[in-house]
Amino acid sequence: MQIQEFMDALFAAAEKAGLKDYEAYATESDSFRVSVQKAAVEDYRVNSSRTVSFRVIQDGKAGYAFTRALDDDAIGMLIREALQNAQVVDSDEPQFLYDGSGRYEKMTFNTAAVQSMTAAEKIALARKLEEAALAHPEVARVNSASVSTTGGHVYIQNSRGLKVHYDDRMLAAMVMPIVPNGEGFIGGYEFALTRDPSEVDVEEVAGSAVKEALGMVGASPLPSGTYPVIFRRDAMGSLLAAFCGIFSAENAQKGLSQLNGREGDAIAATCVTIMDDPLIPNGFSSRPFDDEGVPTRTKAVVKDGVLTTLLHNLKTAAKAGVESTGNAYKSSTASPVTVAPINFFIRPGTKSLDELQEAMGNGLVITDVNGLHAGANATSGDFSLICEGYEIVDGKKSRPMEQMTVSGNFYSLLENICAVADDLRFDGSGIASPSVWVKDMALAGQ
Amino acid sequence: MLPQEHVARALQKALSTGGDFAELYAEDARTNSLTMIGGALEDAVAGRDHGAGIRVFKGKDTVYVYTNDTSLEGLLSAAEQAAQAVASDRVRVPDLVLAHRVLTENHPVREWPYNVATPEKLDFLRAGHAAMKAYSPEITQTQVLYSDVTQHVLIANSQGLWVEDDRTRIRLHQYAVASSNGQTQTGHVGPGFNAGFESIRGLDVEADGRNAARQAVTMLHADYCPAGRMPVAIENGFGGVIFHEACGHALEATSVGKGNSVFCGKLGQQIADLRVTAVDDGTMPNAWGSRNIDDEGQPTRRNVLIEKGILKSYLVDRLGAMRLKLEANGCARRQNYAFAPTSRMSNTFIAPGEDDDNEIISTMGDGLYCASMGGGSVNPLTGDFNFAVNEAYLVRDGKITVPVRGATLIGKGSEILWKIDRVGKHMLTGQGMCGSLSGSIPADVGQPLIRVSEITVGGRK
Repeated sequence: MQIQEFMDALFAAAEKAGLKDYEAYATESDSFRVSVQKAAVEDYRVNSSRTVSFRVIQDGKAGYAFTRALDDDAIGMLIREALQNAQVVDSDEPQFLYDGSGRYEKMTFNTAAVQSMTAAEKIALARKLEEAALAHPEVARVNSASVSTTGGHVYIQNSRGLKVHYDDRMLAAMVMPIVPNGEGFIGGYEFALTRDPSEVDVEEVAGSAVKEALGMVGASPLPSGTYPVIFRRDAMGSLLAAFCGIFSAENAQKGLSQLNGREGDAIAATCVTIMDDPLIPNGFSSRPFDDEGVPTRTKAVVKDGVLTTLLHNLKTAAKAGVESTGNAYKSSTASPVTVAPINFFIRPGTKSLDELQEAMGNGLVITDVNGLHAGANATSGDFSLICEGYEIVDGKKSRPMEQMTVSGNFYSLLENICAVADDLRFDGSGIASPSVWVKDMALAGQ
Repeated sequence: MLPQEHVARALQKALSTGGDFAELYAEDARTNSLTMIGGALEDAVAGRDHGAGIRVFKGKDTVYVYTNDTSLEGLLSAAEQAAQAVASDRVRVPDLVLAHRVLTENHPVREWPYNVATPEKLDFLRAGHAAMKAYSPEITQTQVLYSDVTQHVLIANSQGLWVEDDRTRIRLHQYAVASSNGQTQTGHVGPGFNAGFESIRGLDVEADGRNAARQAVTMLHADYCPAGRMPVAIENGFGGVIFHEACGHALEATSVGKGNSVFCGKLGQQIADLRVTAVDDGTMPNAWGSRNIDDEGQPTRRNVLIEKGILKSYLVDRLGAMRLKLEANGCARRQNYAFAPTSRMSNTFIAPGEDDDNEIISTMGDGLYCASMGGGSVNPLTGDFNFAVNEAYLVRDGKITVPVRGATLIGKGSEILWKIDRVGKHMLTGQGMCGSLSGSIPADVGQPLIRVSEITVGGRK
């Protein structure tokens, strides 16, 4: 069955089964990826997938079931399993369906540009990226140059009259050049992500990847100690993404974030304003409604250091006695509804990264952190991560450093930010940050 | 699950532009997950996953196409896309004969999880919650996560292979949150099995819960770990993640075959201390990372990777075998039909050695004892690895003393292997999910207590 036909049949069966409150959330997507090495196509993938997730609400309790097989058996399974699951759930926080009565911002994304690109054009783009990287004499080889596109539709439909959908489509172009480093090699990495393939600047992407790799040649650990640190925009973006869950009302209400009841309190330095703006025109994760169909809106989560609101879905908002902020989120089509930011970022300041480095005088710039999935604990806020970057001596970039760890606590980090740079850029994620200068961080190395 | 004639036609179509090899992987899976927070069942999700992927090799080109539509039309359309991606000129492909291979069942399932009613499963989750909560008034929150996946797979290829397998895996995570004076710490225990619900019945869920709670409370009262280079003793069980990250990934053909590993061209050479023997064994009965067959349909094996410090073998899948001119050794794995298989670890461990646990600690001077490890990651190109320590203690003058929190271990894989200066006698494994090119897959890691003479410890003091 096709997806709409399946949803119609599912709703007819649900009604016949006497269900009152139910919702289908469905995605239909396709993706393409090609990777080249020495101009030959090395890896080529074409995919199409569809998932229907069904939730039933009974006495305020939600049960979920999903399927990727769209047949009659699946309809029976979804109704039976979702209902059974709703009956065993014993959370006392009532769940709701949204009736779609709010006002939605008109948002249309340019899906045609990527859609109309042929496989041959994508292969050609990947080859150009590889060539552009190889044109730099320092490059020993290119590990991979790839172009991928993903796109599709999201549909939400429920028994309270909600029926919404949107389409989106993006292209990512990535290159990973490898340069010699002593007896071994190191790699650099850069990519462009866009809804308009003509925007991909091949020379710039390749040049930036090569520069990243060369910048780390000869890097070594520095002595362990406490240093003033600038987290470069991408490293800070990674930290913000790892800890964005602390702003979820769901986590707060469950005691898994320390921000519960802290609205109105100063939780960060006054130079820090954190926005969630799902309505940025052509923004990375921009969308007119959240995963419960509630209209999205722009808001400051932290304003001049003060926590103004947590992020809510319908359930957490009802519990807190506020309106949903339009941040209902499903981590995959098959997952239950939770809470997450959409386009989430620290508002940029006015100084450039260079000016921040000069103002800091002596310290470190951390350009990359790794190990976030294990070394960052979103409940305690503690992190201890492998990092690399470079030293700043007398306000100027000095030697590169690697094989060091940076340790701290995200809650204290927010309080200890001295300045925010002007270099905000979204790349590859709806969560981003400008570079930020943090007073003192503990680093381990030599 | 699919008619043989449909599969044969799809494979034939996939080769219709002159491909050398075609393979079809199809699966139908039932999943169940239960999330209990603070003793209340928060979410219950049931699901059915279903789809097929077709892979074609031609020369050095590889193509992978997947779809949820496994009707004859769906399969033929996927096969046609794969064929067109490798070439445009048509060739005649003879009819394929697919011969059923009968499996030996090495991982018996006594109680399929979908036959166990949810309320009965919930008893185990509640018992875990109660044990965590009862451990200490400082336990302010608990999470118990249960999941099971039962998967029927079919793998067929143009060399005539047809093999089907039923796999089930099951896991019970317990997370404890301890808080006081504005401080919060967590503890975790999460056993998993390639087995039926009998494996959950065999657990001491309460003991696991108490252990998670003990870890959280211990860390709540711990000071921050000192930073710097020092000797480190790493306990058995999930401690084996050090070998998995520091070395295992760099032995996968995915890295070696492209020249992106520090261990390229080192077969037969000594790469580690004589004490180190390391094995990847996909055959361990009912272990978390075990399977009867790998995801290319080959029987899994016990592969000795390092024997007494000498590099004996890489982990080689079909594509890696072509690139490296080596034999594939039953380690091709994938998350599901949405991924082409690659060389991956299964149950990977450092084999038991001859050193005495007490001596290992008493002769280490000042350093760190890591009782429980978290996850980690690695850059196979440089061998730079990092992993988190969930529960650590300072060692002073050869004695384990106070707990410390927030430790991370970092280093380079090729260097750390030489610095392993003790290997204890008691091997244990722990369960994790390993993420790489072919998705997220269950993997066991393991080792006895080992000691590393010097490693960089990330801390905050």
